[in-house]
Amino acid sequence: MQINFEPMPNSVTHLENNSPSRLKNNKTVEEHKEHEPDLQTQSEMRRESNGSPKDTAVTNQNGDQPHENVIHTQIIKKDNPFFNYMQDNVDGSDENGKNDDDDENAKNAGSDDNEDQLLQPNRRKNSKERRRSSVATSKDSSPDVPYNTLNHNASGMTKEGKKRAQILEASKVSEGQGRTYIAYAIKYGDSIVKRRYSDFESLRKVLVKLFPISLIPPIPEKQSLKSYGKAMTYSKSSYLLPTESGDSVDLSLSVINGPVTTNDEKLIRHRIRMLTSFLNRLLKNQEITKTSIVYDFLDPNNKNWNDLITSSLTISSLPKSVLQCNPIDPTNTTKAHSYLPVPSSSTQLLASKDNHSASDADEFTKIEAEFKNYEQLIHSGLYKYSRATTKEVNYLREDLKGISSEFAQLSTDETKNESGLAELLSHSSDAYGTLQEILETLVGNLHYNINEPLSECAHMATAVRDLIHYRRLKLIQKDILERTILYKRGQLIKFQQQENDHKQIDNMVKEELGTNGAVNLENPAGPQSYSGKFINKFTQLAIIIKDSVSYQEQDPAAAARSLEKELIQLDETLKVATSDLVVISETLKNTELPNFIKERDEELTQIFKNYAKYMKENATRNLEIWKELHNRIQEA
Amino acid sequence: MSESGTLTNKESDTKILSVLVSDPQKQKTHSQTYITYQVSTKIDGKDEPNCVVRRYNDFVLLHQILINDHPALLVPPLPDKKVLNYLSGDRFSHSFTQKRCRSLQTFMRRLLSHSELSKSRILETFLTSTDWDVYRRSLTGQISTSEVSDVLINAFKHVNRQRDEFVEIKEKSEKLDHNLSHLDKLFHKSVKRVDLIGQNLKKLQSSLSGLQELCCDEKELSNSIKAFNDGTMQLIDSLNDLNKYVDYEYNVDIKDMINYIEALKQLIRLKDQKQIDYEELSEYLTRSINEKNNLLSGYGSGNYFKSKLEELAGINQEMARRDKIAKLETRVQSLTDEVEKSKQVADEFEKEVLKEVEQFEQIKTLELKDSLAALAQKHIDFYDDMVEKWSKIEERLESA
Repeated sequence: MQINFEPMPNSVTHLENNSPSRLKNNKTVEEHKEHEPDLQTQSEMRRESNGSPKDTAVTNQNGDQPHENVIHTQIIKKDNPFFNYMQDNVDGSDENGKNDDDDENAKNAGSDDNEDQLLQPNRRKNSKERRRSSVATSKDSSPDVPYNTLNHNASGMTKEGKKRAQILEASKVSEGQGRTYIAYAIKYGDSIVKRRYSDFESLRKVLVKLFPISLIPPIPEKQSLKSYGKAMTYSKSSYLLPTESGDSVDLSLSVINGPVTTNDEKLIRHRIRMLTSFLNRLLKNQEITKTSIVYDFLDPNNKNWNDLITSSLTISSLPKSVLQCNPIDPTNTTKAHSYLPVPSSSTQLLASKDNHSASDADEFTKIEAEFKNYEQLIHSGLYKYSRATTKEVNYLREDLKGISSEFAQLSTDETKNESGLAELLSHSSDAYGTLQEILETLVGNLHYNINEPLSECAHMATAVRDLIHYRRLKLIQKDILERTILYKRGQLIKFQQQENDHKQIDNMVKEELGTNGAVNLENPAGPQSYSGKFINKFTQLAIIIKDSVSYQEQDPAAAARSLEKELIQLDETLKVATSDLVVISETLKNTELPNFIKERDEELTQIFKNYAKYMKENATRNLEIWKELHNRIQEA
Repeated sequence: MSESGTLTNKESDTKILSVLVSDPQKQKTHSQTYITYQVSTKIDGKDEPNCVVRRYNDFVLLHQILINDHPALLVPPLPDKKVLNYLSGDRFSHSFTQKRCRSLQTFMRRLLSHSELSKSRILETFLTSTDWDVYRRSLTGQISTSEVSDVLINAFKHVNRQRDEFVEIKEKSEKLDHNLSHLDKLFHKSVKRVDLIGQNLKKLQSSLSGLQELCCDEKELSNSIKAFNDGTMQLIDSLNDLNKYVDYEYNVDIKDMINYIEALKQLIRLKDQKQIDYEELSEYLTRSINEKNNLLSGYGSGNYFKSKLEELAGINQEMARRDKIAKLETRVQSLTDEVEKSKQVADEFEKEVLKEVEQFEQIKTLELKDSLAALAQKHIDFYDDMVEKWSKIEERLESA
């Protein structure tokens, strides 16, 4: 251990001071060597020296991986999401490994101050914009909720917490060999970073692993990329979106003003919308923003996110299964966690199918049912039928367009008629043309500001159900553990009994030997030489021995000892599992679910408000058109 | 009502102001089931409208008599028999009877708008007589039901000399027919579409109810859902009403207009027939005169072999020739009369039809205008209501 941390004297001291949760420090030299780019070490050191004691506490997530005989050894601060993010992205160029540590530090310190001043007006502007957009009833997901200001962490965090991420543009990027992908330009603060869909995907995967009991917002499904890539070739390669829409993700304006022509554009906008929302939900999450991971993602200096993730030991050394990690801090997984059984998929299936048969008709059974129901209602109810309605309204719009042109045709055929019918029909044609436009607006509003948010709600519902399901799995895990312990205990008792039997037999043998001292067991001359009583006892003994041997090929005493050991281990694991479950349940019940419900209620209420608003607007505009037409008919 | 509706009845000086066909009722006798309609007529000088009950077949009879009595007039058409509806048993459905009632109303309105037909005696009898049934029975068998057979005979012959006016009229009515058929299709499509929207909204609404139940603990949200749900329900109901109007009335109006154009085209074909009669007769006359002239002038080149043969057969050529000329002379004489007569008929008919076309144009303009105005009014009512309702919902959502 000392060897490992030799290049980082600071961290050694920290480690020794703050490593309460670390069970074992058996870090191996090989592990350390496994990845050793110098520049990383240097940047670690740099950050380490800036780090507050808190980071270092998190630094010691040396979760044991006993199966592989490997335990987390080195913590790379840069990669560690639990690392308290101190520096601003702008100058923290990791490639500059050659820079002197001290120089870097000085630079960072200086720029921090500058940044503070620079960001002040920005922050004010942002909040102003936010206010404006909320007055204009921006439809976006809860723009009125003040972004978590992270008061608990008064360091450099606050300024980060105020900013919102915004996707400005999606553009086609060539990967070589004719392959292309769509890059999303994300603006965060003053920097712009380009990320592709798979980056978001891997970010989310990592987050799910790192924060098993936090609600990780959803990203859009990977869908129909084939047609998407193809169509991109034929259409514009870049989709510019309004950049000056304040801090809300309001894409509606661009859509209403510039109608979307292809499904690909729709898909891209859908993605942009959802990905923006994903990032901002992350930036709002107090747990996640305690770490640097999202900021790293938004940092343009991290050019290749995938490389960053794959090279990160923190992430690669996470337990394979989220069920085998410390739910509160997976990087701090203990050895006990590694003993946790992972329920087989069939068990999981069984559990998800019938929640009630399990021994745990607890309060979560109701919660589970409720959230399942909620997901169903949103996804296969509200979202589905709102979308179907919008689709039909859009078809109706086309019908109205046809009616308009038919009236126009009728009008031109009536031009010789002097009764004014031609004008009348022409007015009707105009009216229907306008009605069609009104419906187009409505369709755009419904699609982008009702259906899309509803779809997001449905995704969120799935995410929250996954979270609840995680707890369910942990419960099953505990259940399995308890039953295993029960079974092993039974076995232990059996072994102990056998051992007792052995002892008894030994005693018996000794007794027999004591009484008939002449018997030579080493050279049995044959049963006939023994007394009938002894033969009887001897065969009995043989049978017992045979029994026990066939039962367990081991020496019962040794088996019992190893079982005892195992049981101690299991008890330890059960203790962990039980306390984890309590923490998970508490977190879900007291934090995650209420937070989700609060946010959800706000979002849904906003959606309903917007829906009502659109219906009213639509009715008002329609009314105008019909009134005008009616007047013209009366005049004619 | 239009000014033509107030025309004085020639026969009895009864001034019919307006007619209302309403209240379709299902009637069941021991042998048959049918729908009756109440026909109420407002007569000048009477406070109470005159009400009679008629069934569809009575209208058919009236229509038939009018066509027989006024072959040169544009008798407004009746709604289709809709044989398919008869077969499927749908003819007693609400939508079917409502639509038919609307069509019958239009039929009556057109009759009253017509300068000649509105004065017809049979119409008065139909509208006012309590002895209509007796009258109907006395007529049974006398009226031929083959409305179009005579016109169809020469459907493939065309008029040689067409007046420009009629070329234009025909073209115009073809176009109108075509456009209105399109419009009809589109409106039907839109009705179906709105129906689907209503269905989807209904499903949306039931999901909302489910959500409301689920979130009943969260007061704010459940209040919002309730408010929105109420709005959706009202929207569904009103939308349904509006859609019914478009389907039962506006679409029926368009359909009736298409039928009216069909009747007009029929009338023009009848006129063409008269023209064709005249043209054929004149052609025959010309041919007869030519033949006679040929005979008079001695021989025709084509007749050389024939005369030789007759000569060989021992027929006295001169005798036969004179005989033939005499026959042709009488034929030319009678044909000239006939041509004169048919020309008169055709001219007369043409004049009548031109007048009819003019009337048709007036009625058409009036009808299109009226139904558009009614359509607009319905939409105004609907959206007025919607603006008010959604404003309230918005308030509720804000305060929730």
